[in-house]
Amino acid sequence: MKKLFISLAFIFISLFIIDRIGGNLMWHAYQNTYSTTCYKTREVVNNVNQDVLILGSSRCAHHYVPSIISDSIGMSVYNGGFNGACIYSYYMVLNYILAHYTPKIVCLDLITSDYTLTNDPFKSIHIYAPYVGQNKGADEVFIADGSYWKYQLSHLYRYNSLSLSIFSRLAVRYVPDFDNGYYPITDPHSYPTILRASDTPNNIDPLKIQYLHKFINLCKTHDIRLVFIISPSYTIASTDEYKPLQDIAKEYDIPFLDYHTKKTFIDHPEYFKDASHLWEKGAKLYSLIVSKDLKRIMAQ
Amino acid sequence: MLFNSLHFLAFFPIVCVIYFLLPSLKSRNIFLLVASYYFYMNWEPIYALLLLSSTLITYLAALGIAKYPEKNKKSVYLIGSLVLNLGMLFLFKYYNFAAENLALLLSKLGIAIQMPKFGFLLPVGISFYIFQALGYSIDVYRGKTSAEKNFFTYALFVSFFPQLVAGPIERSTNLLPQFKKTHPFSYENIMSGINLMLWGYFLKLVLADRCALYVDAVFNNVSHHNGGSFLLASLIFPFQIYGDFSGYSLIAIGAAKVMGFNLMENFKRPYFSTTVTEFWHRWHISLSTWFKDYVYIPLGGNRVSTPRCYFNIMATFIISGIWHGANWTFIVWGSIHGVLQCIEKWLGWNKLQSQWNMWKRFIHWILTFCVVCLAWVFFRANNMDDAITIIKGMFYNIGYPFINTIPDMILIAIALLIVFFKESIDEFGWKISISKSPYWLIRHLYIIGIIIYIIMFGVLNGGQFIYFQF
Repeated sequence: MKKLFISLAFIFISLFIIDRIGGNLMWHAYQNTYSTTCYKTREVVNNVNQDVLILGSSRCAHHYVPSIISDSIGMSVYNGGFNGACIYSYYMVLNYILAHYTPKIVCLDLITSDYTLTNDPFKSIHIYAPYVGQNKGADEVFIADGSYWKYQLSHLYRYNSLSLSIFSRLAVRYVPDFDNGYYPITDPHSYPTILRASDTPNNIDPLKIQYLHKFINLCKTHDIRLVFIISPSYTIASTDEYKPLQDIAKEYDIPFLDYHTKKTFIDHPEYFKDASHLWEKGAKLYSLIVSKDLKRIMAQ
Repeated sequence: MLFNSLHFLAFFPIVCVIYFLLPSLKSRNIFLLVASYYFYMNWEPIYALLLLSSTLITYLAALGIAKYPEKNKKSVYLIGSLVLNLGMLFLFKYYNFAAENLALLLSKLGIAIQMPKFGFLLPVGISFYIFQALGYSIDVYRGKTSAEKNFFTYALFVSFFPQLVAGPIERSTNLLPQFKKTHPFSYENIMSGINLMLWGYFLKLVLADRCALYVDAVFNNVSHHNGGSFLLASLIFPFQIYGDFSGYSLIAIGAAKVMGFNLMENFKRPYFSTTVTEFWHRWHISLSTWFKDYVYIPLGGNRVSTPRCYFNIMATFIISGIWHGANWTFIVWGSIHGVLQCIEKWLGWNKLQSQWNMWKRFIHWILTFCVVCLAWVFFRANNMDDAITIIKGMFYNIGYPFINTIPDMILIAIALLIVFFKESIDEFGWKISISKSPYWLIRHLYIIGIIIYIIMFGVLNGGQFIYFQF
């Protein structure tokens, strides 16, 4: 029994010490890495200070060219889109940003998975794990996911699966060439050929709807103008595909720009990389269209 | 309760502490039985009734078999046990599949009928515990083991939580006697069990679940991918399923070891096999020996005419395929393995194997690995159409494969290197031992290292074990 106690004590004490020292080292490496995801996450959490903030998933990251929108509306713009992001991460990002500045306008580029049940709905929040414990509002999402205390228990776990990207870009020191958070997709050479009908989901996730309301109320509290946008897709959507989002927009009097069910770009597959993403050519044209509508909304 | 859940990480130490604190064998067994049912009821409490039913049926049948010396009376009890258990298995696992195919067949003959659907979910581990319980019934019938009179001891044999839901499928001759003796607290057993469990977790969380990120992306979206992706996913899936299932088995064996129980080995480095026959001596050993003892040998085994022997092999492997799931993909997978073993038997490879030189062994190793990978496509594909699209794509539609994220691919490669190194040590008997080093510090640093690696690179929010669906 004594031998086992000594072994377990050695293992647990060593693990604790390694975890805390390792967690500290990883934090410093994380702050200095030029890994694309880590760099953008750092920017969003600490440095973003533009007038207009656009949040969304990969569609957002690839569809909105800040320089084009900025030239048109005369305000600075930041594209805060991340692959796989959903309403939970938008809520976290807004909380992180509000800790250091208040944007004038927030545009939410929404997709159906922002209000429907999906597998692993909290998957996209884990890129913010290094910041656990630093913002009450954002921590609320980690608590809802059940990962908060895991990240508190192990500081190294906050960098789970990020280590390789962190270290690979620690040595290659260059600033990723973003146009204020925009990731361009280069000419894919082949474009989608089959125009499919998109599924109309009916499995509403009450927690996501709850966070959408929280997001709206947070904007209202800080006097931020909110706009809902649905980007174009190379799919045919039924008119009620975004009805739950339209209803919420109506309830709060939020402008709702729908470029999907209105079939914008549907006759131009050459602007798409795949059914859900525009490549750079399409994104530039789309940004011009969006900026005109934004200008109109701002004038109201 | 999943082995890779925090719930289990709390449950297991508590069970161990209470287990060793209890003074008598009887109290320990009853406690383990309660813990095992608690473990099982975490999925769907109502399905514990199925586990209990199977236990009761086989327990009473064994008592009946033991009571009568006459073979025909014994047979009545055995057949009763087989029919009731397999009936339960059929109803929950195969009925919908059979009904669907029957309706389809009849519709092709111009008879349209609507078969009623059975709407219950498949109970976790049903094939495992029913086969373990049936093995006991047959062993009692054959006189290989005596009927267990103590119901609680027998119920514990069927429901022992480490191996309840995904094996190893234990034999009554090995596990049952272990519940009749007190297992003293042993530092060596605990440390050795922890080592096995940790390596199991490594295989599951670092290798299998990382591979799953790529494999699932391809196999679940077949229409979006080209042959390059199919080829890469088909090369990665064998390691995913190996890490997943052998990882589970090691955690089960390790957990039992901590409490002083010895479960049978379930995997013996299968991808080092140089023939498909050898692969089945190394892969899911508890199931393949179950089929050998209770299906293949009763059919006549290899002590019959050559055509009959081929029939026996095919029948055994088709049944093995069906055991895995109610889908044509599993039947095709089992049939492929059956055909390949018949071919090997016909070519006499099993007898010649020991005479092969290094180069021949190497060529046969590559050949075996390739055909096993190809057969896995049917095992993993969601349906036959997907499987055919994937196989066709691998030959006719080769293109640049889809790469999810480069770090994921690098992490898969590193995990594979580590596993290959560890397995090579065991396979070739290299004189390198870290986990069993004579130095206390090295043994403990190994444990710490594995835990840190899992925390840093494991997929800790991954899904359940693949074999739970069987």
